[in-house]
Amino acid sequence: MSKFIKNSGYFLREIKTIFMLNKVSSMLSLVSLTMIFFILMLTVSGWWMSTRWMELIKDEAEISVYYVSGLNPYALDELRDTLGKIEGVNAMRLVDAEEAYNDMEKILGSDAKVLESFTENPFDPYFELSFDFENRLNVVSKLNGVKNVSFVRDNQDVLNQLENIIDFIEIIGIVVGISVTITTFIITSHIIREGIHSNREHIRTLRLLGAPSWFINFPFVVEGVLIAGFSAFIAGLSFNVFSGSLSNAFGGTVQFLPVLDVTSMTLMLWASMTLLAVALGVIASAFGLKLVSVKK
Amino acid sequence: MIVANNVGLFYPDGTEALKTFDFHIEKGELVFITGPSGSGKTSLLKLITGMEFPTQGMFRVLGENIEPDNSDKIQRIRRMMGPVFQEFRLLEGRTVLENVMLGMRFLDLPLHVIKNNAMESIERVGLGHKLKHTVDRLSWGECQRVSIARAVARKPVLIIADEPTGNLDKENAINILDLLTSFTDTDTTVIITTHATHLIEDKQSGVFIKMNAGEMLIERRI
Ligand SMILES: Nc1ncnc2c1ncn2[C@@H]1O[C@H](COP(=O)(O)OP(=O)(O)OP(=O)(O)O)[C@@H](O)[C@H]1O
Ligand SMILES: [Mg+2]
Repeated sequence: MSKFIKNSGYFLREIKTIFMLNKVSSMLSLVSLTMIFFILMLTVSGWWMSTRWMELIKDEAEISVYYVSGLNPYALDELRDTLGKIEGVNAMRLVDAEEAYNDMEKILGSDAKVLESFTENPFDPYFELSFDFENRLNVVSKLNGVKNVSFVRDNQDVLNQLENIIDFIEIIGIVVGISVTITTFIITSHIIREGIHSNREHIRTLRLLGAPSWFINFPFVVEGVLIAGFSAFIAGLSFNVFSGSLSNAFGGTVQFLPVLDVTSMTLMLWASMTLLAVALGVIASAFGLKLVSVKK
Repeated sequence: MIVANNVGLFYPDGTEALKTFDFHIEKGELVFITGPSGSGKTSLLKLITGMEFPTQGMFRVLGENIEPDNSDKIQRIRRMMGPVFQEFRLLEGRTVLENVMLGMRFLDLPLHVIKNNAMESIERVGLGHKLKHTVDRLSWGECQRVSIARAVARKPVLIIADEPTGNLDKENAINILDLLTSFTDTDTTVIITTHATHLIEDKQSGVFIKMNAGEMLIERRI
């Protein structure tokens, strides 16, 4: 320990010297690692946003339950009760004929004149249910069996498609995430290993003078950690600047997608990427030193 | 100090660098190794510093066997040696002072002692005025002297110098030889290889190893 403190000034100078002696390759490492980490963040946040959107869309999915007309209030209450007790039904609301009319007017917009040709309100009241997305087939079949229910509109096609999209995004997310992570690891360790490799004569000289491994290795490990950590830090910084506009652009172009608050996510990502990079730096440097270590 | 028992060295490509030999070198002895280029001088020093392992026999330096699975102990005895490499092995981009201090930083010495030892030995090789120069800008002869300063500054028990006068003019060469041999007064063993036989012909005492194509002829003058 005392030898460590005694040499702290030397280690600092050594870290700088090692960087300056390999300035071009160190800068290239820094730039390419920054890009790699940027891509990793892009991947992770893309996956995060799409799963978040899917959650929101799932939550908004509804089933409409129509009932035979002319039910007395007592039977209507009973129906409400029965529907509410079905497993997988989360919340329920009665949409009366007037609201249904107004909704349609809104949807049609300028074409709403069509509705004026009706003398009477053509819409029926119905129950609007939100439900467990994963449980939906079960829910629908149970709804169909309930007394006084005349028709269940479950948008099966749309929901199935939605589910396929969710599965797809999940798989893509996992595959891309894993491959980018592995790539990041390989490239990080390769770049750091290259740096150590270009210093192998220096390492050998220190060994021949009898220097212990910790003394030889320390500046290189710190060098690797600094390069990786700093790259991730810069990548995180630019990503944070970039992500605000990105999420706005997304939310703006695709109408039905809500704008997500990505600030806390990108900050988290920034911190965890920097930590990950530091860990990668340690592992990769240790790995690199093992490969260039000379036994003799 | 150094004991060789039936030792031989083949390089992996089949070159027989050292034919079977026996010797022992004692504490405080001065050893000169001479011989034509390619005769095996550096190879013998590489055995002593543990850079090569004997392919035959037993070789002991400072009480440790020079063999592949003894690397921790070899590392320990290296700290007691002052090696001067034929190709210097200075660390580029660092100053003269930093290079010399580097040989001591991991020894049990306080920083001010390290610095004093370094300055003193740089002074003794005549480079006191170039302390802060980076070694990249030095001439060959100057680099050689820095590597000698690095070797002696750590006050080793064994100095191994491979062609320490190879790039020096006569005056500097004599100076350096005198410097290196003076360490035998403090019981340091000094081993020097050289082509410059004329510089050592007049030496009255020491161990003289003449090498030729891997063969050794050993003469002790007392
Ligand atoms: N790593 C190696 N692999 C194979 N052969 C080697 C190796 N190192 C040296 N040799 C050979 O071993 C022989 C002895 O080499 P060595 O370097 O010991 O000679 P030397 O006496 O130091 O020569 P010089 O005076 O030129 O420095 C030479 O024939 C050389 O080519
Ligand atoms: Mg040689």
